This record gives sequence, C-alpha cells and structure tokens, in this order.
Amino acid sequence: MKVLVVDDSSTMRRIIINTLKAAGYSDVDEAGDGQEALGKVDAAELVLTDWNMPVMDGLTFVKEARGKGFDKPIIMVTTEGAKNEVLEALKNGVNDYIVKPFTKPVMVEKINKVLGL
Amino acid sequence: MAKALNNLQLFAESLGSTAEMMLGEEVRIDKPTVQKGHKAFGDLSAVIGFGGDGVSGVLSLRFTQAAALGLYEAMMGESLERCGPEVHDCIGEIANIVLGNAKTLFAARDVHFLISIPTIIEGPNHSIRMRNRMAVVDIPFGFREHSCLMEIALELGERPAGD
Ligand SMILES: [Mg+2]
Repeated sequence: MKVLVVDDSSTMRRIIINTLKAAGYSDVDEAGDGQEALGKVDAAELVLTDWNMPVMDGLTFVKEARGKGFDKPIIMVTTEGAKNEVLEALKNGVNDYIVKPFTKPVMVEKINKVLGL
Repeated sequence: MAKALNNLQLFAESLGSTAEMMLGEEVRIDKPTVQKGHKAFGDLSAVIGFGGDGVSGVLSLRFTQAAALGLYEAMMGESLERCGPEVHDCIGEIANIVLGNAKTLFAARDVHFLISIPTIIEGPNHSIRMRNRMAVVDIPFGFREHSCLMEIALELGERPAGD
C-alpha cells in the first residue's frame, strides 16, 4: 500500500517515514509542499499531510485533491491543534488529525483507524 | 508588560512539553528574564514571527553547534559531524512546533495569531536585533550538558492575553 507523506520539514518527513516503516508501511513517497503532493497523490492509498507549508499549504492541497476526486483517507499532521482548525480540516475532507509532536503509537493507531484495521 | 510577562508562561510550557516529547528526554527550563541590549549567544538560531490581534512578536530558539548536533542526535538517532541542512531543518521544525503549540494554548484563552515559516540564522556568537519597541525576554533551557536559549520578543502596547 502506497503512503504519501507531505511536509515542508525534511526532519518531520523522516520521523513520519520511520514510524510508517516500523509499522510495516514500507512503500512511501514524499512531497515538500501541497503543489508537489498534488502531482503524486493519485498513486497514494493513504496521505499524511502537514498544514503550514510554503507554495501550497496542506488545507488547500486537501481541498484540491478532494476536488479532483481523490477519495482515499487523508490524515492531517500539524501543530495546529485549536478546535477551530481541527473542525475546519475535518469539514474540508480530512479523515483524522494528529497534533505535533506525536508519539509513534498515536500515529499508528490513527492510521489503523482510518484504514479500518 | 507585567501581563505580557504572564503569557510567557505559555511559551515556556509549550517549549517544555514539545522538547521533552521530541527528544525523549528531560529538558530543563529556567525562569524568564527581561533582556537588556542585544544578547550575543550561540551559533545557530531558528527564528519565527507571529502576529495577530492579541499578541505579536518573534520567537527564536538559539543553540551552540554542539547543542544543535546533540539535539539532532537525540531526535533522529544519528550523529552528524557538522551542522548542515539537516540540522537547520531540525531546529526550524522544533521552533515551528513550539510556537504552534503555544498558539493552541493562546487560542484556548481567545488570543489568536498566525505564524510564519522558520528562518535560520548562522554565525558564531551572533545577536538578533529586534525593533526598539519590542520587549525581549530570555527563557534559558537545557538538555544533557547543553545550555540553550529561547528568546521571545513581544510587541508592546497590544492587548494582553486573557484580558
Ligand atoms: Mg510545516
């Protein structure tokens, strides 16, 4: 199963990819902003995306991806933990939400949840 | 100013919880002190501006090279010889997460602001010059044998949080 990891921080992409690999998800692609992610999203079966990024932010990316018919689960991984932000993301097609910093078990649990495992 | 100083607790709180979780080890946080003049410190700083109705300013996380390398090693489980793009990205993302979590703590008190994308400043023993009307507060912190500094520059004359 292909997972797309979108974050402008290479450190955060590495932390997320290490977590995915340890949980058995080894087919991972990555993008540094929403624009780059839009070009890669069609091949993905699960997306983990940051919110605050240059070029195209995560919320815009989610809206665009949903707008062109991408229907696989998307998890937002962000520092934006206030209620309003979480609600706005969920309203726009995000399936679940992880606040940074996160522990590895929390990330794996959310992934399993959105995949119905 | 007294009220603005109270809000500094939220930045310190966010620094403590974020850094401990990301490093997976104990982080020491000292009392905030008001900075007089421009303090020269460290080799690398991650700087992010924030602005909104209730509070505006600049957050800087400042490290010696040894501390930045130690931080990278603690977080990524890999030791590097020198500070390059990986370390710059790492300290920038920590600053982003510290400020992002502080933003959430402020939002719970109905004070809202937006945050920018981190900038890295490099140079032995550099100082950062804020605008004159900003109050700059130091919050020293440390892990292992390293001493680091969080600097919060706050715009004066704005509505203090919690009012
Ligand atoms: Mg980001």
